[in-house]
Amino acid sequence: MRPFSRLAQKPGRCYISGMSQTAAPIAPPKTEKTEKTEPRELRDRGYVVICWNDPVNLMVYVTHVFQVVFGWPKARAERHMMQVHQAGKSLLARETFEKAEHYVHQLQGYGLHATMEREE
Amino acid sequence: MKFIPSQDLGAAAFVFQISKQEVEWLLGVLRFYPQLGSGYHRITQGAAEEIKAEQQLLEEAMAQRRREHKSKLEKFLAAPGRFRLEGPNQFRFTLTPEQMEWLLQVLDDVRVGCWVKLGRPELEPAPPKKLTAEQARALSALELSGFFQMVLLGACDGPEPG
Repeated sequence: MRPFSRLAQKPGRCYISGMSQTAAPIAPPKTEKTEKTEPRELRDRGYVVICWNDPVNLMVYVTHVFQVVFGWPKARAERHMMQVHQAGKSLLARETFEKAEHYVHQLQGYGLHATMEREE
Repeated sequence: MKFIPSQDLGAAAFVFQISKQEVEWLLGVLRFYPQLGSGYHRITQGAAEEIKAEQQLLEEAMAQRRREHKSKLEKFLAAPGRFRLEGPNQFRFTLTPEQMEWLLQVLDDVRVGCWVKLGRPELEPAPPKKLTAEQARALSALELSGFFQMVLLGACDGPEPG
């Protein structure tokens, strides 16, 4: 991830370290906990959502996306963003298949390199 | 371009002041949209077959999202008085929080798509120096989309709108 654009460093421009506090999180699909669906729920547990580092998405943008998609406070979003930046990836969520897929779609819609993997 | 905090608007909105030159840059960047193809997206890096089977669904979802954003963008830009003249060489325009979110995604598509077009180079400490005319345009769009993203995100971090 890039810290910021060189153009944005021009003196007199306004910028940023921050994130939206206003956007509501994008709700994942609910999995009903009924007797009928529970076996599927149990079978599906154990998928992780991972965000991978890239040199193009701005750090402040990645933090913003984590806040919007997961509804996290800024501090938690920044912590995961820094993990992506420094360690190359961050495990963002451990979910059922459907919810993990939902998050990957949301994150990729924002242009982030996010995948879902089966937890070993 | 800069964010103008406003207490006057009843509905939540972000107001920006933008110069004529910046309007031209913004419109130029938005003309690049969309840049990313569906093939860019990968649902998994692992071997789990049940996940791989969802690759096509992801590609279709991303293609659908781009069609929707393209439609919203065209309506947004076609709206009369989108950029309202405020003074010599200065304009104002307004974004709702919902417009802010899809515009950020549109700008990021241009940024990431241009980066892919450039061969996914490392951008720090410096991008490639020898460029064709097409690559130079892609690099300009990449940098400008990042600039506009930073201004929009700065507004998100500013005072609550409305």
